[in-house]
Amino acid sequence: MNLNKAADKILETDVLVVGGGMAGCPAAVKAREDGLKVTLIEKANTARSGSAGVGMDHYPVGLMDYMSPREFLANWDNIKRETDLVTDWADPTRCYRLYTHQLWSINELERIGVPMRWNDGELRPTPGHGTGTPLLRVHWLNVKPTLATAMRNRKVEVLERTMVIDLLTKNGAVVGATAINTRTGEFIVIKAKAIIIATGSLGRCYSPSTPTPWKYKFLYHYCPASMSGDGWAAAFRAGVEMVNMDYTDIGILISDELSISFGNLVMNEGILPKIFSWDGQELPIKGMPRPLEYAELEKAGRDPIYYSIEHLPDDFQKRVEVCMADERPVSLKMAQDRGFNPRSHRYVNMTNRPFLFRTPAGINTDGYFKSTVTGLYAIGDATNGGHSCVNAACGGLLVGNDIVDFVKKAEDTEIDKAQVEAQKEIALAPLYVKDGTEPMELECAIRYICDRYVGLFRSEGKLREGMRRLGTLKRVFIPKLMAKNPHYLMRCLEVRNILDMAEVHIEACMERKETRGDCLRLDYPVKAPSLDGKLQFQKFENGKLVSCMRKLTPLNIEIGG
Amino acid sequence: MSDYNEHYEEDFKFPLWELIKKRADTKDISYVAAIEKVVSEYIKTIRYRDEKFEKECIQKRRKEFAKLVNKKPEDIWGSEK
Amino acid sequence: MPVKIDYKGCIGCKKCYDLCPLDVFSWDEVIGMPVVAYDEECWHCGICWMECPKRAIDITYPASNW
Repeated sequence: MNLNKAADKILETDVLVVGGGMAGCPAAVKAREDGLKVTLIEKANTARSGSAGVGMDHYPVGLMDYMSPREFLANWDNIKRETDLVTDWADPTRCYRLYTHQLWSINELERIGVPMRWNDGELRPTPGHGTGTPLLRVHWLNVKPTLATAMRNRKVEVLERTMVIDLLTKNGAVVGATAINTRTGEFIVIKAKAIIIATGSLGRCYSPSTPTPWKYKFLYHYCPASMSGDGWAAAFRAGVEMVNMDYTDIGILISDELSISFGNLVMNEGILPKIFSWDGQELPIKGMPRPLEYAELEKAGRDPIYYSIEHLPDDFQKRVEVCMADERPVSLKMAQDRGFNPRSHRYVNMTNRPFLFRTPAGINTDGYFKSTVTGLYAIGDATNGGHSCVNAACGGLLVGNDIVDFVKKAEDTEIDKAQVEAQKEIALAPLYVKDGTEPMELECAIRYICDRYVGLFRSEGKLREGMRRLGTLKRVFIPKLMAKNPHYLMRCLEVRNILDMAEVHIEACMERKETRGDCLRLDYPVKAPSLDGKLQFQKFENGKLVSCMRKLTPLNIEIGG
Repeated sequence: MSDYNEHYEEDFKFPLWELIKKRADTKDISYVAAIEKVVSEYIKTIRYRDEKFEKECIQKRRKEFAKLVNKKPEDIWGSEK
Repeated sequence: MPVKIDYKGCIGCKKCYDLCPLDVFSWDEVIGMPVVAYDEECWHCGICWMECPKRAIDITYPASNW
C-alpha cells in the first residue's frame, strides 16, 4: 500500500518539534542553526501560542554560568530552595546542566532577538515571590512573535494549525509522526530522525480554577486551555515512560482571577501579599495555603480568604501595572471594567483545587532530555522538573544544541504504512460518526471524574470508582465521538488524549499508598519511608499500564560544564 | 465589616491603562503597538534601579509578617546575602 | 458574549483569525471578515483584542464568571 494514498501530505525532516511554545521555538531555532532540517508543528499559531502567548513578565533565572558538579551536589539543598530548575523530582544531571547554563540561556535568547535587557542596557534581577529567589524582570509581551520571526528567518519549517496525532515507531525508536491540519483536515505524515515533545503540561482533566457554570468551558487561567496533553499522550501510546503522574499543582479558585495577571498577585516584585479571612483578620500564611491548611480554615468558618496588595507603596503599584502590561494586558481592562482596583480590592479565594500537572510530572527524561524511547526527547512542561520559562527555553536551547550528534548517527528507517493507516483510522473516525457525542460532553465527564473521584483528598474507594467510571467512558463514548468539521476533530483528538492521561493519573494516584508533599491520601496519611528518594514511573507495556517506584540515577560528577 | 462592598468594587482607572488607550486611540494603532511605546515611558517614572528603596520596602513588609507569625525575618527568609 | 467584533471598524486583516490560540474564529470569505464561530471556547486571553490594528474587538467577561 502506497503511503501517498494514505496521507494528504508527506514530509521528511531531521528534527520534528511537536509544540511551538517557550520550549519548542528555542529548540527549533538552535537545531536549525546547527544545520539540521527542522520541522515544527503547532496546534495554534507560534506567534501567540502556549503559556507565553499573551506575554510574560519574568524569566526566573539566576546568573550562574559555572559550578563544579561536586560543589553543586554539596549545595543541592540550598540551590533547590533558590530555583525550581533544581529539584528532587528530576534527573540530577539535567538539573545540573540547566543550573549551570542559566547565563548561557540569557545570552542565547538575546542573540536570537529576545529582549533580556531593559532600555538602559542592563538586566534587571529582582527578588521574586517575596522569598528572595532570583528572577529577571523582562518585558516579554511580544516574546512569541519574536521567536516566531527567529524561526522564520532561519527557515525552520513551521506548520501552524497542525496537531500531532500519534508517533510512528520501529524497533523501540521513533521514526516520525502523524498529524492533522485543524482547519483543512489534511492528514499529514512526517518522517523524522528525532522528535522533541514540547507540548506543555495538562490541565483539562480537571475543571478550570475559574468557575464555569454556563457554557464557557475553556476558562483556564494559569496555562492555556489549548494544553490537552497531546504530546504526552502520543508519546505514552508510543511506549514512553511517564513519571509522577499523580502530582498536580494546587491552584486557587479565585472568582476574581481573570482580572489579574497570571502569577502577578503573588509575585508583585518582592513584597509579600496580605491574606485575610472574611472578617478582615490578617492570616499568618505566606504565599498560598496548602490544601490541609485551607481545609482547617474552612472547617472553622474562616473562609473565603482574600488576597490583597493594598499595602504596596505607589511605586510598587505602578510596577504591578507594568507586570500586567507585560504578561496579560487584558487584565488591566478587565480589572478596570470589573472595578477591582488592586490598591483597595481584596481578591477572593474560594478554595484550593488541583490543576495542571507540575514539577514532578511529565515524560521521564534523563540528563540530556532523552526519554526512554530512542530518538524521542521532551522539554519544558512536557518533561518532569521545573515549570518555568527558564526550564522551557534553557532546556530547548540545550536540546537543540545536543541533538545534532544524535541525528548524525541516526539510521534511515522506513515508515510502517500499516501503522500510519491504523493511526489515521482512529484519528479520523469522529468525522464519520452521525448522532454521536460532542467532544466537550465527554470532556466534562472526564473532568467531573477527576474533580469528584480524585481531587485533592484521595482515597482508595474514590480512586477505584473513578477508574471504573473512566473505563466505561472510554469504552462507550470514545467510539461515539462526533466531529462535524476539522475544528471539532481537533477537540475529539484532545479529548482522547485527556482521557488517556487521566487514566495514567488515576493509576498513579492509586499506586502511591502514602502521603507525600501535596499528594494527600486520606487512607495513607503519612510518608512511606521505603519510598524516600523514589519516583513513580508509568508506561504502557503489552497492552497494560505498568507502574514502578525507583530512584533516579545520581549525578555523574565527572561531567564537564 | 458591616459594609459588604468594602474592598469589593469601585470606579477607578489604571493610570497605565488610560495612557495605553489614549495612545492607541490617538495614533489609531493596536493596543499591542501602543503598549510597547507607553510602557517604555512609564518605566522611567518608577524607581526600578533604586535598590536601597526596593530593599527597604521589601524588608518592611517582611518584618511585619515575621511579627505576625512570631518569628524573626531571617528564620523565614534566611540571612541577607 | 466574550468576543464581539465591530464590523464597522474591521479591515479584514485576519490577525484575530490567524493568531487565536483556541481557533474560535472562522473566516467569512464573502464579507472578508472574521466570525466568532466557537464563542463557548474563548478563554478570554485578549490576544485578538490587543492585536487588532483597529481596536475593533471588544472582550467582556460573561455573567457566569462574576
